[in-house]
Amino acid sequence: MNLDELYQEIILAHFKRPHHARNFAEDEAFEEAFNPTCGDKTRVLGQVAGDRVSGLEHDTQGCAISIASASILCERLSGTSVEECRAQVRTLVDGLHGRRVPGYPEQDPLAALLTVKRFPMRIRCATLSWEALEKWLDRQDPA
Amino acid sequence: MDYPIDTIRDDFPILSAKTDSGAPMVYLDNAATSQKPSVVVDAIRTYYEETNANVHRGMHHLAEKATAEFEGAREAIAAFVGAPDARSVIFTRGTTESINLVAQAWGRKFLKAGDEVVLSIMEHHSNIVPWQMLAQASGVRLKYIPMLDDGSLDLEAYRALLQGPVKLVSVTHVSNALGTVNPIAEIISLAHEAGARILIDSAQGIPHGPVDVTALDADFLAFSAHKMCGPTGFGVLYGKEALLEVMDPFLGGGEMIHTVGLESSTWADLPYKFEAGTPNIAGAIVTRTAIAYLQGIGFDAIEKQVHDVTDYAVKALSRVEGLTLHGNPPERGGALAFNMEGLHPHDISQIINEEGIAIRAGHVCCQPLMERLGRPAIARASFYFYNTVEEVDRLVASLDTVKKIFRI
Repeated sequence: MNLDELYQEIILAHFKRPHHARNFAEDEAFEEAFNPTCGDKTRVLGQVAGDRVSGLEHDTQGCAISIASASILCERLSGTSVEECRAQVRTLVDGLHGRRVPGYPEQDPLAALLTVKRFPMRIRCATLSWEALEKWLDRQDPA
Repeated sequence: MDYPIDTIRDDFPILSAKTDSGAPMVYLDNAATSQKPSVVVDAIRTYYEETNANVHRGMHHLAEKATAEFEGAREAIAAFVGAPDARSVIFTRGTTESINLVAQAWGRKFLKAGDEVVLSIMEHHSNIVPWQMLAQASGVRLKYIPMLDDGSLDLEAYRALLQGPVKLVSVTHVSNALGTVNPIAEIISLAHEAGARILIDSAQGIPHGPVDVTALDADFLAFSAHKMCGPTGFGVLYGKEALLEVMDPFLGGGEMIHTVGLESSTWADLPYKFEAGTPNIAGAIVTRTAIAYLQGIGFDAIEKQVHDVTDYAVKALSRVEGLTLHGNPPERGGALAFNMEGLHPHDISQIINEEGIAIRAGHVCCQPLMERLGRPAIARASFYFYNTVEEVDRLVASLDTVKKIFRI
């Protein structure tokens, strides 16, 4: 295993300067995912108008992978439809678990995130915010 | 005589192993579990090849031999902890089960709503959750001894807590996260002055130096074999005989009964009342081997080596820029916890693993302590008597690689 595959430039950049990150107040309408084995925690929220998801933000306490993953998630999925969001969650999670290989373009940050699949102990770090997003989507009423 | 570190390391073939990346391994996760010397591994094989039979049942040669070795182990373990009688040494699966046993078999019978159990903020989850389960079932209230910034327990606050209706104090001997060695003699006598019983979680204590339960006047003391060169899945609960006698059984089944009827049963004598089912026979026998191995090296020598290496690590890590060591307790066992600015412990652990260095990263089963430290996770290095200062140097050097990868 090569650490450069795990800690690619794009991952480190998102970790050091996470996009769409801020500390949420406890009464905001976020959904949370928690990894009890390590204590990492991520919260995700956004807005839905019609079937469009916008303004996704996260509040993540975690490692480089989990923070970068949440940052990439918010950047990539804001502005897409609820359905597209759900599809993207499935694609990434299935890809990380090796169930199906997604065809991400080489320069896509998601392609960098997908390399985490070679580090089994870290897959949950990469999926954490996506789990939170899925829960948040479940709570939205598109109508 | 110089400490025979090379001979000792040769006793542990796993210490010469290499990781997947081809790096020689540096094992600094001893607070999670210790490595096992060949003499212990061989004893497991010998047991299954020459002795294996169920204990206390058969009339045949092997059953007799297994029973004699199993009970011989109990005598040896009783002597090791200074128990007045082997009857007060209960075999369990480990510290966790030992604590659950006290919470259920003693707590449910003798504690009632409004009674207080005092724990500390630095407890392992295994000395918190069993009491929460008891509290939810019986209305017992839990109180926590706070920690001072140096990583030691706030004994003034402890004295104040003891003014309440405290029936039991259950605290760790040595913190698995910070390495703090708690003054258990003082903690025990204060509990007794307040009329409370006391349980000591010595999972991280006994591996580094013997404990005399009689001299300490401990009511209960729990520990695990696997942190002291023994097998996993085997541990001990010492309890004062008078307390164990009046407790109800913990698990029901074979071995723990005297007579069984259709509606009710009567219980076996100590210690079997608490040992339902076929026990971990090899575990007990081999734990005796592990103790004898440690005694052969000598606990004074073990303590000194761990102290020297830990002390060296504290000094070396303190010089690493951007690194925060948690706590500076008056007495520290073989563990230390740290964080590095701008880095999550997982990333540290992952990167140094490529250089063969095994540490623990996470909440180390101490979420309330993490809350107190204001960190979701820590990196922990923990040492045993086969670790060396050269290994500490490799740990420190590996942290440069972490910084390099993260451009810090």
